[in-house]
Amino acid sequence: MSEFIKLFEWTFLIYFILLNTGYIGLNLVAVLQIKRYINLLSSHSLPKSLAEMAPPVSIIVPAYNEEPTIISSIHAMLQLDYDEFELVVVNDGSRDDTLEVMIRQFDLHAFPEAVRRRLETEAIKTVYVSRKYPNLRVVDKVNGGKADALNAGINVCRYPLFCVVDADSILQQDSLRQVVQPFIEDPLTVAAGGTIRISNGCTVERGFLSHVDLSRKPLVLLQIAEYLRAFLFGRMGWAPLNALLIISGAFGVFKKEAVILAGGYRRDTVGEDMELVVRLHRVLRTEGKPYRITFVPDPICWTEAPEDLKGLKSQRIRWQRGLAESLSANWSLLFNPRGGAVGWIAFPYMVIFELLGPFLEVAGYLFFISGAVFGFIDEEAAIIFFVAAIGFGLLLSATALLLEEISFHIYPRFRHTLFLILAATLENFGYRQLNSLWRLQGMIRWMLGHKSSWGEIRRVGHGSPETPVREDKHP
Amino acid sequence: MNFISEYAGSSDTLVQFGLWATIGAVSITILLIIYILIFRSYQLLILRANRGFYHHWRPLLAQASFHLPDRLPQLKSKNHVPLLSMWNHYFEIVHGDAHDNLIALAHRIQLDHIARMQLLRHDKKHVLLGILTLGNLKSRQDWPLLNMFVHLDDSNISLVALRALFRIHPERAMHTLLPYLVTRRDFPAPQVATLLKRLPVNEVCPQLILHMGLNVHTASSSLLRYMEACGCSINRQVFSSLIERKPDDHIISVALAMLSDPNAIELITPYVSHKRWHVRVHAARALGKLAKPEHVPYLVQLLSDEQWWVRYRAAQALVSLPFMNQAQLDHIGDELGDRYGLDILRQAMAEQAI
Repeated sequence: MSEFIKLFEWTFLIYFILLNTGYIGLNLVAVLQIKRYINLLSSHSLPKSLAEMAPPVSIIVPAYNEEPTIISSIHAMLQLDYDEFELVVVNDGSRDDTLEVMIRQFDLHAFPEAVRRRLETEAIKTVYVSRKYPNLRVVDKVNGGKADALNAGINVCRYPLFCVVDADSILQQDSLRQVVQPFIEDPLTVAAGGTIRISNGCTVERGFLSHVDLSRKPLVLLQIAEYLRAFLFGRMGWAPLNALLIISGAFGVFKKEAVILAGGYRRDTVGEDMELVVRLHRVLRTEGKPYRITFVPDPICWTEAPEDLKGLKSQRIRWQRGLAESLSANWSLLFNPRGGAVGWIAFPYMVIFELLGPFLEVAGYLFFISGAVFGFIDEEAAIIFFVAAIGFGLLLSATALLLEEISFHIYPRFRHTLFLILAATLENFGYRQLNSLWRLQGMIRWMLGHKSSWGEIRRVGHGSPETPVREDKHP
Repeated sequence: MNFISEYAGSSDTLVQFGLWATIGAVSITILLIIYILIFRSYQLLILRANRGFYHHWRPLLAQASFHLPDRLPQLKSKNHVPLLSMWNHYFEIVHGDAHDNLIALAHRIQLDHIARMQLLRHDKKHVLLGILTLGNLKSRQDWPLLNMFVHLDDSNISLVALRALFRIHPERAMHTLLPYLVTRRDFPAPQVATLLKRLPVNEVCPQLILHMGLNVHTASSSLLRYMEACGCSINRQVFSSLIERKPDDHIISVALAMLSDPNAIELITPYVSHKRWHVRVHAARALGKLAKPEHVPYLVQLLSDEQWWVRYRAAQALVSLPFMNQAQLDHIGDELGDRYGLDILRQAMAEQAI
């Protein structure tokens, strides 16, 4: 019996060390990538005309009950600094006056569009065109969920590249130009994601971010530290291996034909953004087609993070379910002979550390706590386990902060650095553990087969009090 | 310390391993945090030091777009790169006489010399900045130097050097670029097309057609695409010579897209029934430019094509024909037995109305 307990002790300790070491390894790859990227960036940003002749892009904005924010979002998107783009807003059967406010504001008129149905969707009721803005069209359709709305947008859009933007995303004027850059540099690129940052605490004017600041809310600060640690640099590490498995649904550009080849967005998952990217890998790998899925590390899209525990919990449960659905729908990529780095490294990593992680993490904590309480393990071992878990967590957080400092340092003041160090330290004392619990709940819900739908979460919003905003996006 | 000494003496391997791993992790964390704080402080110091430079030079460069200032502040060597960057930034956003003023200012502060110094540096960013500046300065004496960078394998440097050459002497740069249109597959086509478009169509197109004649077996496809991007058109003779080579479908499509010779209409009609849909799309577009009333049935036939894009281009072609009026279009719609054809015709008519 004691040998089994010893085995468990070692398993949990080594798991925690491996988990954090894995992230740190990704961060180290990200260091090299960032250095290369910043050099390239400075070369691209100089000659403005190198960005000329960028391919035309269709921006698809799925909208469901977005009445309070849709007008300012569309106005902001129409002002994007890009030569040729069209904006396709898909009203997914909103129950509020989303469509009516758009009709009034943009002088929309019904248009007899012969829609090309390359992807199955719920029925499109009407396509509207704007008399004020020739590059704006609004699709009014029967409610079918975000993925269905995106598929309808793909059917309607005209250009070879499409960009998915959430209606509540805050972009920068050059966001589109930056995220399209990989398609200009490498014709094999089929998808490129932008980095999502947290906008709470920042100032937004006329739909664009005008001043960067940190939120004063502790829960948001913890999330900012977490974004750096777990999402930004972790993902950046996968990009050079062409093994990136997530492009946020809040902002990403795709080659339309590649997405149609893969079957479009799946309508029965909450993580349709991640699932599409995993499926693109699977389909293109198994068909032996060369491709590149990449990532633009600049902070080019900002989104609001939940400010209360209830909202955060709901978000994390959905993310975990999305992850589980995305991986389980594409098991054949795992150790596929044609899988390359994505099938042999990234996918197994995601399964072990992200999918099964909550089980092992919660089990580890429970095992050591109960072991110490009931006396079947040494108190010494229990304490060392906690200290090691926290110590490696701190190291990981510090590595992510360092990367942020040497690359983008978007938070300009010295006090920002101090607050981020404080948040990165504190997130290891309770916040990460709480997250593991919520993710475990997400896994259980996935196993029980709960249905998915457009999610809502109460957020503060920029300029409008207590605005309900969708939350079904990965960072 | 008590904690460490207490656990360091433990006989349990797990405890020993966990303890030393944690000590290592926490020690590195502390060092990283110290480094972050020092790094941030250093950055803030640099920012403050540069504030004076930007305070003086930013309004000067903005003002220089209209008229040259009488006196210029002293330029320190540490500010060379920020000044080059800022000068190029202003140069890219202004037009006309402002360019001449900025160039005159640059010569007064020997910016050309500073730019040449950057070409000797190892950092790619500085090299690109130097090349860009010499191009914007239209520095003819640096042509051989810039030409040398065109030949490098790095496509980014090579293209920026070509761009600089186009700034200095577009016609001469065109001759430098021509051989690369065939050989440099690493050049992103949109960027090359942007360079070509700096020359008027009547200058660039004859050269591309001539060059295509010299490379019939190697790179007609890429050259044709550049010709299309530059808005070139081809006549019956060139089209026939291309088709005689039994090219692939993509070349036929591009050739159809560029065909603008009314005498070549009978060469287009066979492609209305081509097995590849993208060829039919371009046949529809070509008919839209050149068709006479007797060719309308070909476009009506394409309205019932199985491919959406073919139907769409055929509908657009029909509504854009100068001899076609509303009543005739309505009549075509009434006669169509195909719902998809009617839908697309209505869409094209509605688009034209907008």
